[in-house]
Amino acid sequence: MNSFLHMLKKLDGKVDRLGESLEGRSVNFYPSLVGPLVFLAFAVGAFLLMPSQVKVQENMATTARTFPTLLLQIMIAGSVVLLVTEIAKIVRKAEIEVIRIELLTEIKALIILVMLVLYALAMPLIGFIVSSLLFSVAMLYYFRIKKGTYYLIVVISALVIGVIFRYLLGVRLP
Amino acid sequence: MNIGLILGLVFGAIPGLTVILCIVLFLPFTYTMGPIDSFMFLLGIYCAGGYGGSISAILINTPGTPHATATMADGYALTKNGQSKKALNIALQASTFGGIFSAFTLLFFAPQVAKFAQKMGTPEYFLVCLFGLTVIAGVSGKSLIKGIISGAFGLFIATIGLDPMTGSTRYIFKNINLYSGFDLVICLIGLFALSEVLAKSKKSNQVTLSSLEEIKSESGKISKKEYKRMALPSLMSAVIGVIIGIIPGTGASMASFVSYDRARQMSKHKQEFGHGSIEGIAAAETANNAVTGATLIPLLTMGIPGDGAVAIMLGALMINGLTPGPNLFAKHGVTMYAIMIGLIFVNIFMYLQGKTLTKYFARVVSIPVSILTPIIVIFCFAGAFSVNTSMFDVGVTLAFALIAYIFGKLGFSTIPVLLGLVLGAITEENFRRSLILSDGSYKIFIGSPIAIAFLVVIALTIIIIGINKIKETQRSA
Repeated sequence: MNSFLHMLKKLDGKVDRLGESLEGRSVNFYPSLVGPLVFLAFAVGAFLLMPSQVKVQENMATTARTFPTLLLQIMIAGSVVLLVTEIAKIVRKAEIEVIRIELLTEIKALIILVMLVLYALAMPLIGFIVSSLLFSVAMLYYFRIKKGTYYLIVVISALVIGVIFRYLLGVRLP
Repeated sequence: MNIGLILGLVFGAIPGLTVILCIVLFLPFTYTMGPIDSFMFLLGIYCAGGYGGSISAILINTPGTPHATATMADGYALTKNGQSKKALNIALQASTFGGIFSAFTLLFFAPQVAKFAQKMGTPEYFLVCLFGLTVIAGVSGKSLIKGIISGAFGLFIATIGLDPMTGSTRYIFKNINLYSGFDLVICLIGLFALSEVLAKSKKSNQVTLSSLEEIKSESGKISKKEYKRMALPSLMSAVIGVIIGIIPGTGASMASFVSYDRARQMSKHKQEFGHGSIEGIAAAETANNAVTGATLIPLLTMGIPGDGAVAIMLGALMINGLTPGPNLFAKHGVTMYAIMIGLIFVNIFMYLQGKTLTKYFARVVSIPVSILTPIIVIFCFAGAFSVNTSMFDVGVTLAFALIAYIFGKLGFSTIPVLLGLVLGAITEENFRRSLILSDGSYKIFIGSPIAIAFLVVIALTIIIIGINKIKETQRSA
């Protein structure tokens, strides 16, 4: 137990030092350029995959590809219009939208995402209630919560939710 | 219904929690209920959430829901003057009035709209869906084109799975879990509930909301003169709320801002607006609850939701075997009238609960984010799993949470995606049926007076939205 707590303290220290080194660091991000590019790539990718993913019978007024094709065309057209507008602004040396992405904030979001994924992976292995208890405690620890009552509240909440779904709604949780 | 009201008040009052989140989280609870019970529960959440948002807006200058933003300036100003109870009373009474006005509108107009909807064919239905998507694309976010791309993305996601007309599989990548496509509730949990958890990463340490001012022991009474001042703005706001609510794709936020602006323009006390105007609070709160019944009109009569929260209630209807559309009133008239009359009682009980319990609900605004976050996640995962008893759905929820986070970073709104997911099947079905009827000719979409009228409305909407966006850009430049 002591060595586990000691390990946690060491990890805490490392994370704090990492946080300090990233504090205030940011990168410029151009959403009005990146956004249309992302959707353009998605739509073109979906178009290329269509022949293998959507089989059709010929000589029909409409097929399984009709509506998705129209939607992908709209996405491509919209993305191209947005890109051309932004490129025209760059050529004219006009201001384009730029946001500063705080690295620390994004890494925090990534850590939460990793915790969510681990929670989802653990659920079928160790069951809903145990994985929920571990997740709740981990989240509070991540938020640097020291108050014991908060841990008690979330642990009880996890148990209550499990009981509600199992016995009230009849859902067999893992 | 009363449990729904309490949940709606709590979720509405806590900043960061939304009415859509509450409905999404508690929708699985309705699977074992009958149609009337489940709808009353969800309507309780929906109506009470509209009022609940004003509690934190008035007490701590932070709107609990986006609808309450218009209430915030005047509500908080009254709190600073020691009149928080009066502000809360005004908000409650205005919300109740707006809700009941809207409920009666639903009761009297929905059957008439259903009769009109029976005259519509597949091309007209397709154009109504397109109109809803156009409006929501235009009002969500800064750019109409971005809204259209988001809407198209939502519609595209809705096409994944088996094509209902030919039985061909689309983009399932040989995964049998995708045969029936993505379940709407799973997508919503990811897009609107779990994505909030990722967004809360900005608050890494324990955050308690700013200290809550105790509701002072003022009487909170509203004088006859003040009632007289608020009467006309409230009535006008109720009408505005109903009109905006009927238009698919709009919502309470738009209604509350438009009404607030109108009330300010016609007020004899313009200088009070933004500094504690009782007319401002009354107008905004009446309008945002007047939307509630009106949004059900296009939902029940045509299957087209009036806003995002009501879009989720569509799921509750389908689960109980009630297919929205013009025949719903003919086949399930008793159930429909029970729901419409029930909405009147929802608003009455909302008033009674608000009157007695507001001082307790006011305390929920100070629940720490660090406690709420893990509870929301556990609810989300349990809810996502319970839909099909499948861990695949939990994975899908996570994927959509990531998509919503990325959308936020790229400046694209997720509301059009929601509407695209909800309307995808009905839009495609009517589009393709129309083309089959016309042998592939697009002329069918201008083949009837109703279709032409809808096309004109869509074109006008795009022009008006476009002009407004250009004006906004010029103003900010």
